[in-house]
Amino acid sequence: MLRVRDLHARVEQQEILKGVDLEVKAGEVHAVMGPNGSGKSTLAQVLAGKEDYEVTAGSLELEGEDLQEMAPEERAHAGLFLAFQYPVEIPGVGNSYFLKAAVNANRKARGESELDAMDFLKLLRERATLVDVDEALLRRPVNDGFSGGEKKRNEILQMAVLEPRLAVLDETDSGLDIDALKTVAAGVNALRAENRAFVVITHYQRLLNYIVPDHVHVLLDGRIVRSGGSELAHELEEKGYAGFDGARAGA
Amino acid sequence: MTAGADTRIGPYLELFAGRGAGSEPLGTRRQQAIERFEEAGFPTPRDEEWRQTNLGPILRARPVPASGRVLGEGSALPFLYPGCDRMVFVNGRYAPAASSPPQGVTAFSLADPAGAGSELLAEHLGASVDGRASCSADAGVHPFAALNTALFEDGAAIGIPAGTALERPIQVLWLSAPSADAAAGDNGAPGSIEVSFPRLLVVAGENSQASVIETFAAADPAAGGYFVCPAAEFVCAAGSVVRHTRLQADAVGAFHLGFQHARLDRAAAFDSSSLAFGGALVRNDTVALLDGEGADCTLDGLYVLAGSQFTGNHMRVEHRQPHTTSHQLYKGVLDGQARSVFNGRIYVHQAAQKTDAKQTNRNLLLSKAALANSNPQLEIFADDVRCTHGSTIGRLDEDALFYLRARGIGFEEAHGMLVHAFAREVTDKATFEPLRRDLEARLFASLNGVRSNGRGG
Repeated sequence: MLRVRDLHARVEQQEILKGVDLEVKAGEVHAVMGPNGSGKSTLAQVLAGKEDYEVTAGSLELEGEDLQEMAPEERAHAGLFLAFQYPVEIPGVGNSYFLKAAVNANRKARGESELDAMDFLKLLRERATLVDVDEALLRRPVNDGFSGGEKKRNEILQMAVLEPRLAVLDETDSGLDIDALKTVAAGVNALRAENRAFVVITHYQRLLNYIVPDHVHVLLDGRIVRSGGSELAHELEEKGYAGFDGARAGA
Repeated sequence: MTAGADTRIGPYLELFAGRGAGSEPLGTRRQQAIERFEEAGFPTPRDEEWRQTNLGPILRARPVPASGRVLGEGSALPFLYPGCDRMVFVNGRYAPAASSPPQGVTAFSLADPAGAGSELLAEHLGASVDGRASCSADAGVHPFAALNTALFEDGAAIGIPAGTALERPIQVLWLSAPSADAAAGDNGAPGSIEVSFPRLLVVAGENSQASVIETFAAADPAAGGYFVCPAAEFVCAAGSVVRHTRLQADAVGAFHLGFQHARLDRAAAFDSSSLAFGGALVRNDTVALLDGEGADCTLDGLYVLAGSQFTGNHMRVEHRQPHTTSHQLYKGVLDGQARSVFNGRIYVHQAAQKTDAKQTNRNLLLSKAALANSNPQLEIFADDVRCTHGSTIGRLDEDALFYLRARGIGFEEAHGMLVHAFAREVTDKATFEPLRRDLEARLFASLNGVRSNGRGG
């Protein structure tokens, strides 16, 4: 589904990604783990098409299509979803209005008929229940004044409503207490499906107790230095990232 | 430039000479007003309040009185709201056929001889410019308010009796319909402009309530070459609640220099929203005098500008008595080479302890060439007050734009959503549904204009 080859990217002349390879198949959950500054968030932003990042080499393909040729909204239409590490507050835009606009923009781009207010509301309620989001959040402006946990839940709700093929979760666990973490993880698990893939980007192993990955990758200094099964996450938890420096040196 | 002052005011003095001061009780006031105007002359770039307003295009053109055109009733219809009483003026003159004045209140055309003996006029008309209810001495006479007082042909006088609460808003439509041959020519080449001087007087009796919607519009939105120079006075007696909306939707080529003045007595509330979409060169000068304990004044505004439009909002709020409150929220959206000025002055007199004043001006620039000026000024002579002001000039939040796009919303729509979100803080305050819908529509039309004009600059 997702194929990243030898990806190099920089921001403001500083190279952050120095040759990332990643292949994700439908139905799989991949975890990308790494310390601060390793390039995790850059990878997420580059996938979503943030213009501040410049891809200097390599390729990005979603279902065989070149993502680099696509605007951020086109990537969404193609089925890519990024759960932001820092969801943006947008005062003055109602959350459910925003979601309806997003759903219909995607439907329109895919040649489907737009949902009317009733059908959309039905979908929204159903998905809000699925990922355990309080309906009060829907009536408020997008993320405006939301707590950290509410913002992350709102990301998961958007994912549930938009039904992406590939969801990239950028440190969705950061700043969450254990209850919120469980709720978010349950939301993700509820959305796991054979035709859907996840890339879970995280600093800590904790989230992976609740979202069990098929593959774990360790990102250090802009490169994936090791890949393995879910046991790799536990190894990281014990040894810390320092233990992987040697692996990189040997790579 | 100094020597040129005489020649600049000459044509306007001629207009006055042509019509004369007219009969009492207004004759004396008109005469005084033209003398004050003659004495003060047009503002120059050295006048602080006019430094950033280039009056050149207006002053280079030769003013001719707007023709007394009679339009078909239909021409006013697009601007009229259902559920309102209304007074319609075309080129500053009353159009009775298109009007349905409110019942149970005093409402008449200023040109109607039957109103000449009215106490409303004797007591209140022109009080804002002749010293009876003017600002503190340093503000001086407002040149265009004086000019309007000297030259208005017609206008609306509305008096709400004490204790009366009007259920229906009163819409006053000022429709400009310049004749086809009046054209200022290209950007200031000497030509003639049709000028009108709409005049409004609203006197709200004790404990009365009313809502007045002023609409400035052009019968032909593509019309240029006209100059509308309105003045409005609001007298809010003790305990009265007056809502006022001022929708300025003039033709994009029009000149508009407006003055409005409100005087609030004890525990009166005056809530005025100014929405500006049209005009090439626009000023909106507002004075609010909080003259009674507990008076409360809200002044909100939105200006949405593109092309080479200029709009200046100059506010002066005077707190003269204790426990008075004022809130100002002005927002601007500027594209193209548009320019705006916000001059907000809050003056707290020594007697006005416990004043609570808040002023906010926020500007959103959509192009590199757009320019917003924001000048808050607080002058405080009391020691137990709360006064805050905030002013921002910024661009669209790129992170928010990316966030929306990452959810599949296209650039144009995402852009429109964010600008709309910025502006609606002001438009949402309109509680009268037909008005709110009209403002929404105008906002979207302006944004579409912005989008079709392309972005960036």
